[in-house]
Amino acid sequence: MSSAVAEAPLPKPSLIQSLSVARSESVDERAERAQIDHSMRGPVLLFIGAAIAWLLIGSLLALVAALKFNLPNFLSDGAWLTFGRVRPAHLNAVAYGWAAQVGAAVALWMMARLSRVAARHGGLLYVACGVYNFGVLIGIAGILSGHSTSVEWLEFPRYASIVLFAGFSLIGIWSVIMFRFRRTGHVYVSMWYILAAFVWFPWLYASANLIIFYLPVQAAVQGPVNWWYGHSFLGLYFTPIGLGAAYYFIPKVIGRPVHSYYLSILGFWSLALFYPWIGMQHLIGGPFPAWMISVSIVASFMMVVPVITTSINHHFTMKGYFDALRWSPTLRFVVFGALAYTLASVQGSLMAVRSINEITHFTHYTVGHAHLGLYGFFSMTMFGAVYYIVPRLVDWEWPSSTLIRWHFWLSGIGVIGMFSVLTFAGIVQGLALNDAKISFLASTNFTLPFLWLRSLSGLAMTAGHVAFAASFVLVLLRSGARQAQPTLLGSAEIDPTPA
Amino acid sequence: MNRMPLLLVGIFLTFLFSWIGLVAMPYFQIGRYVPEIDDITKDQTPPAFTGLANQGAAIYAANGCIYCHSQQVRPLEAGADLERGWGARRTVARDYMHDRIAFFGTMRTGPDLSNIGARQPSVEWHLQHLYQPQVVAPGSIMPPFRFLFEKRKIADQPSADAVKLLPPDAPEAGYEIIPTKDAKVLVQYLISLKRSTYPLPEAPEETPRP
Amino acid sequence: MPMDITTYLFIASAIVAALGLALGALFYAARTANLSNFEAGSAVIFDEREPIGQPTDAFPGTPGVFRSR
Repeated sequence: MSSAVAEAPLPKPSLIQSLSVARSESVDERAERAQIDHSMRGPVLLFIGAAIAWLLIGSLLALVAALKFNLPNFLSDGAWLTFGRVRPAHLNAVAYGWAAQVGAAVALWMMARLSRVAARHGGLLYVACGVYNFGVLIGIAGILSGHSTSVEWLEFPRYASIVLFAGFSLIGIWSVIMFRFRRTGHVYVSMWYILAAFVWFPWLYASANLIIFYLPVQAAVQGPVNWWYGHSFLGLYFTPIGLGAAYYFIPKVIGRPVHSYYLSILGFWSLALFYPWIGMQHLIGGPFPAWMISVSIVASFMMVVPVITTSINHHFTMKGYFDALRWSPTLRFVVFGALAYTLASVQGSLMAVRSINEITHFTHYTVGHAHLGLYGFFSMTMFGAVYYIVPRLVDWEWPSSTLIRWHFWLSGIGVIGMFSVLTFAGIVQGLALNDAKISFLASTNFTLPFLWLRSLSGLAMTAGHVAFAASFVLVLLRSGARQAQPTLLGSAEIDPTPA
Repeated sequence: MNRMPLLLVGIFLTFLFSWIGLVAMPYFQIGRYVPEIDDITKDQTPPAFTGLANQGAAIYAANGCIYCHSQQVRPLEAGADLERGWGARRTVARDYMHDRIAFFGTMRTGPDLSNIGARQPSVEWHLQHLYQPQVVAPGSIMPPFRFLFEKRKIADQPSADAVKLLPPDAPEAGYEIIPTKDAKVLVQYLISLKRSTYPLPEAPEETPRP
Repeated sequence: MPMDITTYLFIASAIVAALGLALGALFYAARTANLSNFEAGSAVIFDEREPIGQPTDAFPGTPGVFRSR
């Protein structure tokens, strides 16, 4: 069967009609996959496009915020661009505008494919995308104009968070509809992760916003709720979608099933069990009862179980196929992401240990960890997914390998550089902070040379994003010559709506 | 695993459990404080914020002070907070009962502000510091908050609340720097921050290691 | 603020309820054959058109890699 496929003539544009399939069973399957992809074309491209726009805006805000460490007077005359507004604007633009949104796009696309039915109610997704992005827009504008709540990860003012929630709820509703009307059969592991993320995130977001802003409780409770949300946003939304994507794209790209499906089930349930308890380790030594902090430390350490499980699984799936990294852009990004996931998670578990946390708490070390997780793992995985999805949606090959390679190396080296300098700076800063004989000012000044390097790394990443955005625009414009054998292996050559 | 109910029950259950643990339980345990009122003096412990200080807290939030300044003092066994003189004891949940939003913070690019009102009670110091931090804190990398001030032409005689500045930070002759209402309430908030300057039953004062 | 007896009862009943539901779910899973034949599930993302052994992604302009496998 597989040999029959390999020997099939390469589809060419002029052969679209002649390929008209219908008699061959295998081609029916192909038409169906293409149909599913095509049914998702508009919504998914819209989500990805909006996410890339926020990525560029977020990168720019990051550069402004980063430079202010070394140049305190830089852009300091207006209230809009003061550090305490640009920094949360950066975080929210990349977290909600870019990462959460591109995650939703990839998850929705996988949802349709894994449900094995063409998308229905696509209009709902256009509305969801519009509402969601309107929420992010007024949220960022609100932060810059002085309406930030200063609750980390929940800075959006109330008028924006409710819009964002409405937009995301529509995405969730659509996914549940898709899941209900899926074609029967086994539910693939990626789908569990996606479904879980789409249940957990609205619950998290609504709980945290209600308790802190709409029906406020006493401020002391905000600490646990804030960090329960803050870390669960990473662990119960970004992590499941990132892992779901890795579980789909690694086997799919190299054409080999997951090494051990049993391990993937173990990984999923242990993540679901332990991750929701993580968060209070951000407040070690803070004004809270010891048990709250201890329970998060224990849960952080227990996360070693799903992390090692997942890492072993991905490693053995890839084993013997590492040369595929040379020829597949998707695989490059996703495997980079999977490695960063292991590293960031093990680091996170260690950071929760009290004696280590005593040094890393309140320093740039945490910022480095956040970038390794949300960028090194999640964003890189999503870049890979976008490189796989978009050609299949627009029926056009990526116009330039060079742009993709530049994107990979700039982003990869950028995030490794940023992680390294912030980690080192954080350790030095933390050791200085814990030695009362060293003046406080010195603890900050130690970090300044590293922060220049951090800005430089950020510049590399931003350049990578520009290459990425350029690729995306060019492929939408169907720039360049049509490739004889695109990555999509001809599957998109089939007219999705036969006459 | 092909059954939707099974999957959803698991997804709900694991999460609900943590919700009970990290949302509901903290509410029961540290979300229902009432202030202790002294029978004779009628003073509240911990003291409530004034109206102006509460307005200042909103300015503190709007301009993201939290991204460089924490408001929590760790106990002796975790960090050098007490050795640095940032408080007489660790802070505990009760210390935050009057806050609308608690600015615990997770970053110390600048020093902890739990007790800044006790360390720096001077309004003038805070105004100078906000206008140009390096005037009173040489070497600081805190950005200036000049947008909280107005430069005005001196009408007849200098205003009483003009910020006292020396060249090169002083404005040209005939002008003065007047704090806006935002700056004034922010300083009121800052000088009212005295969270752990007195002992509490659950948190006695601690003596730093020599 | 010390925890009162209601709080402890609340915790205890939450633990019992969660354990009960978890056991029920496991029992249901076992009965509906969800716990057998795990590994077959991993192949559902492949089919006749994109079978096992067929790579599905490459840099643009490098068609050769597909035939090399």
